[in-house]
Amino acid sequence: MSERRRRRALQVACVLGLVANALMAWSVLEPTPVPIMVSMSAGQVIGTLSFLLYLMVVAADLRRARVLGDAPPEPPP
Amino acid sequence: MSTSADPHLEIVAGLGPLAVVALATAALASLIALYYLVRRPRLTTAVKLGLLAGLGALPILTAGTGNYAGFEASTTRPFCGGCHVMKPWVDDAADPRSTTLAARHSRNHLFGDRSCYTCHADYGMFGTVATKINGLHHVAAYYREYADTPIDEALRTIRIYRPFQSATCTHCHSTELPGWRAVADHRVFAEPGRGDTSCVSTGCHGPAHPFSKIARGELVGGTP
Repeated sequence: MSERRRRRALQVACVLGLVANALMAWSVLEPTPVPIMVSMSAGQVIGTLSFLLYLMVVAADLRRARVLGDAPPEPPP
Repeated sequence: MSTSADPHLEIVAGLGPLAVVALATAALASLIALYYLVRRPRLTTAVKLGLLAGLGALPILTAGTGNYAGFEASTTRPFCGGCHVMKPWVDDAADPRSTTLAARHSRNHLFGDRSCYTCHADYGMFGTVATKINGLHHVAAYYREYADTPIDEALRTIRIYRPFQSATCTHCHSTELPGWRAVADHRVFAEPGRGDTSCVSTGCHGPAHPFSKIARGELVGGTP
């Protein structure tokens, strides 16, 4: 994953996080049936997607740094 | 019948510590996300750790505390009155002059503003889950059938899904005390096939609400 794509993914994750936070805060400020149901369903799904995007970027970063995935090259004999 | 204040204001005024934590963590997480979106900093370790908090730890805390606060809020009387068709029932329960079973129980500090939930909750092993599933059924029924129903019509048509279970009453009222056993009518519980007679039947301790159909003579011999 290129640097540009990682930054783009994090931007999307931030936007999703903002939406999720807004939905969850809405249910706290207006605890009526619809906000609570929307928060516990859509809000948390969107929040989870946001965190998964972040984890994808972290995994890509670690793979690039060869901490995950490909093993570091063998040192020459 | 009393006139209750705006239920939303009542709920917000009673925000508990969990709700405050949920709002604070949501605000902090939003600030971090906004910072990243506006400033677009380089992806240093510090920025990644900040995003871990803003996109992971803090929203998870918001979700946990928010869910719990939501569950708590869903047990309050203003929440039940959130659907307009429930207003007469909720107003009666909150009316200090009302002598209905629901109102008298609502004046008991052990019930307080959670009297709807206390009396209509399922107290079985999975009672909380069953109660919440039933609540979803209520919400679906409201938006499917009652969202535009005038209150007059709601008073005529709304009824609980099944007869009120006496087990809910005996959750608090002991059936082992001598005083309870001394009441001859209570022997009906021991009679074969009568064990499901509701405590809130008319002629016993009911009806619980002044609008119950049996109270208006629309149902005969049933339970409200």
